[in-house]
Amino acid sequence: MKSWLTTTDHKRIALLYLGTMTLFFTLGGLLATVIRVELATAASDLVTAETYNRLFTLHGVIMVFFFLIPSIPTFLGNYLLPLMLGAPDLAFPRLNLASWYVFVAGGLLTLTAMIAGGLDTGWTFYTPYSTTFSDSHVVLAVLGVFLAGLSSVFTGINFIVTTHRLRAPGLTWMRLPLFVWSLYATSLILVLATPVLAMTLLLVAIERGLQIGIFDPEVGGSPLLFQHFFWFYSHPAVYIMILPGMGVISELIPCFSRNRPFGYEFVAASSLAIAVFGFLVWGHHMFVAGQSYFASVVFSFLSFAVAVPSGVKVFSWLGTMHRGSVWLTTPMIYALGFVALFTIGGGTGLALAMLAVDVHLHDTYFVVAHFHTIMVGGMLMAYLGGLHFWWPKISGRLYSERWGRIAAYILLIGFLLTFLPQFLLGTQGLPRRTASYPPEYQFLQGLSSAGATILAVGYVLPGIYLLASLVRGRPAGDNPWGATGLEWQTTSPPPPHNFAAPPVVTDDPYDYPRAPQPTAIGAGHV
Amino acid sequence: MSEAVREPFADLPHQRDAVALGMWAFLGQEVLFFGVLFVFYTSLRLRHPDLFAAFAPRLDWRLATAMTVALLLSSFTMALAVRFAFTRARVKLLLSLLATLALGAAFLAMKGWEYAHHFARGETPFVDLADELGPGPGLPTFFGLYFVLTGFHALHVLGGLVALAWLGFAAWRTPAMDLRGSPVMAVGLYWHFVDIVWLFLFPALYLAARLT
Repeated sequence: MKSWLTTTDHKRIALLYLGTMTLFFTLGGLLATVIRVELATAASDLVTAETYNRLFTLHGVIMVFFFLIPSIPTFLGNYLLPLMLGAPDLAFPRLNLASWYVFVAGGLLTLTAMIAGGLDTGWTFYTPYSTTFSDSHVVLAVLGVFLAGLSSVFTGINFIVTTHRLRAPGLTWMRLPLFVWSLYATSLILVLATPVLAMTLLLVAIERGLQIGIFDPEVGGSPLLFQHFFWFYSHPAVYIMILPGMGVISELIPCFSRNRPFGYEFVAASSLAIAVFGFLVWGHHMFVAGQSYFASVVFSFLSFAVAVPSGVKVFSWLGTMHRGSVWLTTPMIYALGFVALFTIGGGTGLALAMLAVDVHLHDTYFVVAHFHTIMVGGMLMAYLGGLHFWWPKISGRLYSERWGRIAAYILLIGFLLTFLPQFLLGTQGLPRRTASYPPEYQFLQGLSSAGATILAVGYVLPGIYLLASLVRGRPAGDNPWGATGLEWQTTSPPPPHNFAAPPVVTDDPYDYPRAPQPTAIGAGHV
Repeated sequence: MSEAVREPFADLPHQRDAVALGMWAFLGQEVLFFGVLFVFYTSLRLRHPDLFAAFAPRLDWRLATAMTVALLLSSFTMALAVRFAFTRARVKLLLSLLATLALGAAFLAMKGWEYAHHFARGETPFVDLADELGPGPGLPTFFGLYFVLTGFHALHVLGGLVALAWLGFAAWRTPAMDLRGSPVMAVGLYWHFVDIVWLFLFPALYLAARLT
């Protein structure tokens, strides 16, 4: 126990993060369950409207700040970045451990706020409600999120320095795995956007705690200023969540298509382009908030521009599968699900970026459905795909491929049933964040709640068979998928300093025509 | 703490290089952190220039000039400290760290005196809820801005002093310590950054009324 709590091994810290985030994900999922049960009927009969506000607020805060943002970077990134670079550890191992402690402290503060009576501002903490009117535990919650942000900054700095300074001999930038490129782009956003949220939340806490007018119009402050600050972070945060997911997919699809990634340089550059464009689009959250028309037009145009590098990635994935030999394993099912759902989520994002359309769709279920399609349909599919892909490397065991495929299909069906009806609800004008609704929306809301139960089964199943594989799974061997990449050249799980001898890279990544045969097939396992 | 090469670095230059990059990345995030405050300043000044005309003259620009001099001198002694760490001149290193510490502490002392002075004159950031005319933009709004901006800066100075004290203590207790590596350089970068923030705060707040 003590050796785990004082470890500086990036692999162990990654597993500490995995455990912590799984707890937060479960908590956030339980909150979502209560929300969906409440919404199964038109009246607010299970919880009061006040409780409902607290439920969706905590669901959002926990899922965004304590699961989606840290999930892939701090778990898969922490585990894999040094392995993929051929390094013994991250550049600053103690900073890495500190980031976990700060993260846990932030989580505990937020949980304290929840137990003490909750938070009802929505995950967006909009002023002046959060600073003046809300009687819930805003200060505790924003300090919790502040600490989670600090932990993100530590991780981002660590990843940037590691990528620059600890690449194995011969591992040039154009030989980096695409997952590393996406982590690097993500780290840039983590370091350059998170401080804006951090300071903004501190200002909210100061204004609320000390009665200082910063965002309060009564004393000369500006609530719109808060929205600018908040979205200056929180829109790039969407790319913090989705970019690492895209990186995972760019690893899975070449491996299970046995093909080189189509347009490697363009995919690598598109990660950076998304990171840069992501900083310039925050105003599309404020089309109806009172910013100038000129600003709205510019933000609308720039939001469309993000679709270009995103499209580059989608075409790369399709081009990689084209003429590849596609092998439909569990991780590949998740990857295909990601490509389809990300395309739906991205396309509906463009609809919302259109000025006139947004006036109708703003603050409706269409927005809820759009970002859940990107976050749950995209990011979570990528997270689970990556978890299944690297699980044999991390645990040294093969899980049940049969149950893996069943769970992946259940998740896909559950997802579509939960969130496609919400697009329709939104176009029909149902506003979000209400506990009750007019009875004509009953059918689609019921469908969505039914889908959520299927989704829940899809989340519980991997928890069972992955844990079971630790006891009953066959040994995975070093490279069960026949994948390229330095992480597959060491043992499963890797030894404390990752490699018996420091690796030297002499070739491009993704040399799939000449990659080793998958041993998972040879064992008759798949 | 002796300055050995730490995992996962191969040698001292490699480690120094990585720590420098890490500190620059950290300072990058600090720019954005303070950037929020300067945008807050700009927003308030554009919307309520009258507040600056009315209340900025109450700030003591002579005292602030003395504080600026203290910080600029401390940056000079800090640069010397980095140099002496590299040439392994231990006594000179200790002296220059001590001088930096003293100048930084002098800055904070003046800042504290200034805060006490403002509070004594009722120039506080707290909105008077009992005011019959209702709150409205006024003295507390301007001093809210002033205390928030200078307060976050003062906290950063305080953090720098802690780091300097730690460096000085380590160098004093372990005469053989090799400080050619990263810590003095990293603290030096941070210290210069905190000084630069003040160089923006000084004209933005204390000279605001004089420039308009």
